[in-house]
Amino acid sequence: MVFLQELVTVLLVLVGVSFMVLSSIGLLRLPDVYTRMHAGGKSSTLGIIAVLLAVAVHTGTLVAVGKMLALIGFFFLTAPVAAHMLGRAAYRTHVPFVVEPLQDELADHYNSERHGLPPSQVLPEPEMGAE
Amino acid sequence: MTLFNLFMTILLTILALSMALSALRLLRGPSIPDRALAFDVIMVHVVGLIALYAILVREALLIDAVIIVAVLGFLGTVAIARYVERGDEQGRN
Repeated sequence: MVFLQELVTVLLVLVGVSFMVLSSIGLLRLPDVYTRMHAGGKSSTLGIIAVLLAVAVHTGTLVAVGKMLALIGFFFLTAPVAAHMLGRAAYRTHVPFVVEPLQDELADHYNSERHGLPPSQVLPEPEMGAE
Repeated sequence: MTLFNLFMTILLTILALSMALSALRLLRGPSIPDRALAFDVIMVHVVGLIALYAILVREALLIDAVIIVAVLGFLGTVAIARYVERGDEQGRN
């Protein structure tokens, strides 16, 4: 029983660490802040969920399992919020695209005067000229 | 050292090296959202490191530290994102 518990723990930690290493490599290798947000937002969340499940399996007490499940719910709630706020901040401060977006639906809305960006600050983005 | 401890130590080392890769993006990143994203990933790595260490030394008290670090990472990322946006609005006009 102890052997099975340790085996499941090691396998879960292996999955989690693999996803977190992939997240870190993607954060280093991808060309753009908007593409890096895929690596930093999704893959690391999946990795940390596997690691926390490994903690829950290894300790086995009811309190620890409850805390780990609450923490998994916390990560599910907060990781998309953090990635969304970072993406919005990057878009509004005109971090340039390296990979061109297929469509930019905010281009007509966020470059207007009511968001306080003067027209001289607007970068000559190709997707704006296309529209 | 049992085989379980050996595996956990190896995985802990790999996770620490992965955190060093993220720290490289934190140092290099050309824009502030790049650095904030790297900070977010580093805080997730810190959560994973503390969790693995809690498994390794069989210390249940470290689980509470995991919760605190997770909350601090989220709040830090949100604070940096808010700062970047509002700094743009007030600084350039």
